[in-house]
Amino acid sequence: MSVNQEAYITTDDEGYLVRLNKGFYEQAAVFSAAYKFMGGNIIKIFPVEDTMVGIHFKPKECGSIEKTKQDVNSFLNEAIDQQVRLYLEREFGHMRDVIVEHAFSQVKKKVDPLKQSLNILPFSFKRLSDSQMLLVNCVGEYVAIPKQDFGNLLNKSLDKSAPTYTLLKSKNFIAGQDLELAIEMLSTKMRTRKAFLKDFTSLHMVVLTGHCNCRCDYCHASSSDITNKHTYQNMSPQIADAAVNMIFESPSPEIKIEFQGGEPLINWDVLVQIVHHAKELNLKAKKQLEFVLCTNMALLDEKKIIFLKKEGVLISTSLDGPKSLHDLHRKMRDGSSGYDKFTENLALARHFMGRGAASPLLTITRDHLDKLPEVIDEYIRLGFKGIFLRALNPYGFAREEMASLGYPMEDFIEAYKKAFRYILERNLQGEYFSENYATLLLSRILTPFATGFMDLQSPAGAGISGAIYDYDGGVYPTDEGRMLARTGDKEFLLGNVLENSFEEVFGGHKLRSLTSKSCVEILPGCSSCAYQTYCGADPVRYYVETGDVVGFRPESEFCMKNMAIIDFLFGYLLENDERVMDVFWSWITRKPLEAIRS
Amino acid sequence: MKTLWGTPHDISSPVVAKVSRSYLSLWSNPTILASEEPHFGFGHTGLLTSSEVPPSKTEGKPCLTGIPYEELSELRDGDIVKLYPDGRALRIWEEGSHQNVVFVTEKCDCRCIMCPQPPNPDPQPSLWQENKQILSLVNPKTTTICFTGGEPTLELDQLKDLLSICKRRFPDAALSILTNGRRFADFEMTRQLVGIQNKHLLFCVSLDGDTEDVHDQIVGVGGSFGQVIRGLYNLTRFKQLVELRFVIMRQNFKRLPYYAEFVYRNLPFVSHVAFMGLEYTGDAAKNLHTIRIDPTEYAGLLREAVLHLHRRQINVSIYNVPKCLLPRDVWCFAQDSISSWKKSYVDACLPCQEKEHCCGVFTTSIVLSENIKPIGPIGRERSE
Ligand code: SF4
Ligand code: SF4
Ligand code: SF4
Ligand code: SF4
Repeated sequence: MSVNQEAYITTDDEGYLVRLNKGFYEQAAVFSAAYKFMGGNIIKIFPVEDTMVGIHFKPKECGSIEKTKQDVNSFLNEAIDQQVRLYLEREFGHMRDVIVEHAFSQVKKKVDPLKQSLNILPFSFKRLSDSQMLLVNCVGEYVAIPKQDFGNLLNKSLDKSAPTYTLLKSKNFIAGQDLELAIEMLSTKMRTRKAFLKDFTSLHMVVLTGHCNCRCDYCHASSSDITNKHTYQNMSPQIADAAVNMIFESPSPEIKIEFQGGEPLINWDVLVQIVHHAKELNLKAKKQLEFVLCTNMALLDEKKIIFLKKEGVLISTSLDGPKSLHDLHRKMRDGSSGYDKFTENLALARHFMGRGAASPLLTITRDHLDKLPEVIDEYIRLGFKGIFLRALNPYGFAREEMASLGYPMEDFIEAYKKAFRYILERNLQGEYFSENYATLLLSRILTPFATGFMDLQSPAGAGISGAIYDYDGGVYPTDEGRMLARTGDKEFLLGNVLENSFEEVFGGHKLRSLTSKSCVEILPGCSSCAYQTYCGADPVRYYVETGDVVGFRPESEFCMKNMAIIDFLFGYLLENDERVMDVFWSWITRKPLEAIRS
Repeated sequence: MKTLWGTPHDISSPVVAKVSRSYLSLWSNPTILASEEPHFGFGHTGLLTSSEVPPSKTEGKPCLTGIPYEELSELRDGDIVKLYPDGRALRIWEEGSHQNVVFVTEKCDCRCIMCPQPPNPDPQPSLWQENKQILSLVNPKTTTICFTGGEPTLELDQLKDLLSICKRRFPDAALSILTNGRRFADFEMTRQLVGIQNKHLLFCVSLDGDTEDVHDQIVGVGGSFGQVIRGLYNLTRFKQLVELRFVIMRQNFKRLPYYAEFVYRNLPFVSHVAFMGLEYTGDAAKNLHTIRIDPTEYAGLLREAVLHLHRRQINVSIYNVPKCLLPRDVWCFAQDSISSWKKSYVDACLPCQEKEHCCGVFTTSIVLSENIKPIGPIGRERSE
């Protein structure tokens, strides 16, 4: 690459003007680089003089001139990086297509035997520091290399005897003479990573009722009262039958039926009916069938527990920390303490179903942010083996109450890091306890396998990995989709089990378009992000944020959170402390530390 | 392999037979009597004896005399020996041992710089008939049989035949094939081999590096690495059990941790990975100066590689490296791997606490590590 990276910055009353040499920077690079900074700035791009392009930055109302100044400096690096990406894209862009084709199509095109001694294979990259680059290839293998070697790589002057050369070759970032072998290896790995595509929808959530005996301040499902014998939001036996029939039309060899609400125990008879119906259909279908009940546990009793145990239904529940924190936003409609009922019935369930009877989910409100260690202690005290630290989502009641319950994503990220360090410390002291979001990301970073988590998939898991059947028979690609519907927006309604066929619901235009618009490989911002193989797309969340499923990464909280947490985890990975890695692997493999160490 | 020497009588060409220790042969197969007395017994086709004089009437039956008593007493009922005209008796099968091998061929399509048994340049007569004979003599209760060479896949018809025999005669035995893996790149050949459908068949494939540059330089044939990888893919297409073997030497020891990651990323389906210390014999002895490395030099990297795979739930072992040369936290991966007939201990081993569980050293190696030192009670062996 010939380099004339000259760039000039000048100030004016409104902000900054950057001028870049058109001989080096192509239009596409300038636009992609500017995209990243459009969250806090108003950016205009126009020609200046014959050889230069001008990029003008002006802070938005929410921003400040200091922030803009920082952004302008970062923009200069970003513009270079984007230009390098364009260059690399020309180098290996066609190769990416060949790999994808090798991985997924029956008829394989021959690779034209480019007998170069050094072929660069597809990867994305980011700056770790002034002297180090992080490279991630299209199947998630990463390597941190000195910036100088990166330059040599681009110039194809990387010395064969340099350790970096062998390292890059070992990890399929470059190939020697046998380019075809490298492509075969990459496409094999890609198939393994995207194995979730093959099976289609396996997670099926069934909303048994919209009613609840609780009235949590943040209820995403906007649950309604059950007193006065209101049952109009219960799923009818007829709809339940139709839903189960549709579920069994999914080609997936694994079927997980998750009972949701409201509080599904309110509609117990239909739950029992679905379990029986599904098992009966499965006599013929012979799929791996699993049931999960999402419940606040208050309505459990011995008889129900015995049924759940007998039929192999797992319990997923909610716990927001010690009593004061749990009862703070999780309010029983009858005024009693939800926490007391929870611990009582947890003991009962464990008595019949064993220690692992139920696993809880935590909802983090503003009141939890600086009390996460206490929450973690409570989880450990009650004998739970892990926790999922997730930020409050803007759905249902929570969307209305964001002002009192919510917090800026930056605050969540800080709290997350603190809590993570606390958990890690407990593990290093010998307590097995996992942070499950990190575990998911670490599995995506460190293993060659696919992970079954809908938000971290590309294309998004919405609809193609999971689907939800509302009590009225409406089918949505994600839980959030039906939560939106509850507050009036039916954008994501795919069809109804009573009126539509499986093909209409899952093969229809809506889901196709949603899926094709949710591939990180093509989303603006994501397509050049080093973390795209680890991250995913959350189209429904993007829709809530921007009114469009494509979303806008520079302002997306989903993106901000993932980027920050992945950065944070890479800090540990590159440090590569053996004791910490042992803990990470004990989480990934769900094995006690003793089994991970020798 | 254990070799006995005696004075030959009536041995004009090599003879393969099963050893019997009882005077009377009740076997339908040819047996050879091992006895202190110079007598053929009843029904035997030959004799191995410590007596200096041959039986009065040899009847033209092959016979070795004057075998040292202690040597002869090591032979057991069911062992299989091969007698040579020059007075050698090679024990080619040891009854009850788990280390028995069948040499399919001396030919090989690699030229590994550390080959302990370099391929013979003059083509030898095929071992096919002899191997069939061996398998027909072996105790049907045998639990392990290993096919090796040379490169067994170069004699595909023989190998298929032997595997078919095993399928009939030893349906439950654990079989393994030691191979350089190149020919498995041929999908059709792979299909034919696995098509025999042996119940327990393990393919032990050599892969000595994580890039073509490293591996091909070691095995001496360009393009091998690519063939092995494609071969491994083919074996997995048929869901076969695969063990990877990595021989540690000067040329590849720095790759150890990267190799571990390479295996996990590209070949996570393998059922076992074995890291192997060198046996300095054959070409390994010839190339001593270029390949030699003391285990203490790679112990740290080996530990990293082993723990890397172990964390990722991949079975891993260390073969042929004495425990005193390894960090304590990977001792549990070190196997007592050296075949009993070529394993030994040195003087330093005498007071060693771990002798019972240590592989010892190769009697066949022309050099030994200078760092062997006995292990004392826990916590005291490393005072430095
Ligand atoms: S228990 Fe669940 S469904 Fe009921 S109000 Fe609370 S969050 Fe909503
Ligand atoms: S959403 Fe994920 S992949 Fe997309 S830009 Fe953000 S961190 Fe990168
Ligand atoms: S070590 Fe094995 S593969 Fe290599 S030359 Fe010797 S017999 Fe052939
Ligand atoms: S001293 Fe001998 S027996 Fe002990 S570990 Fe070393 S080689 Fe093995």
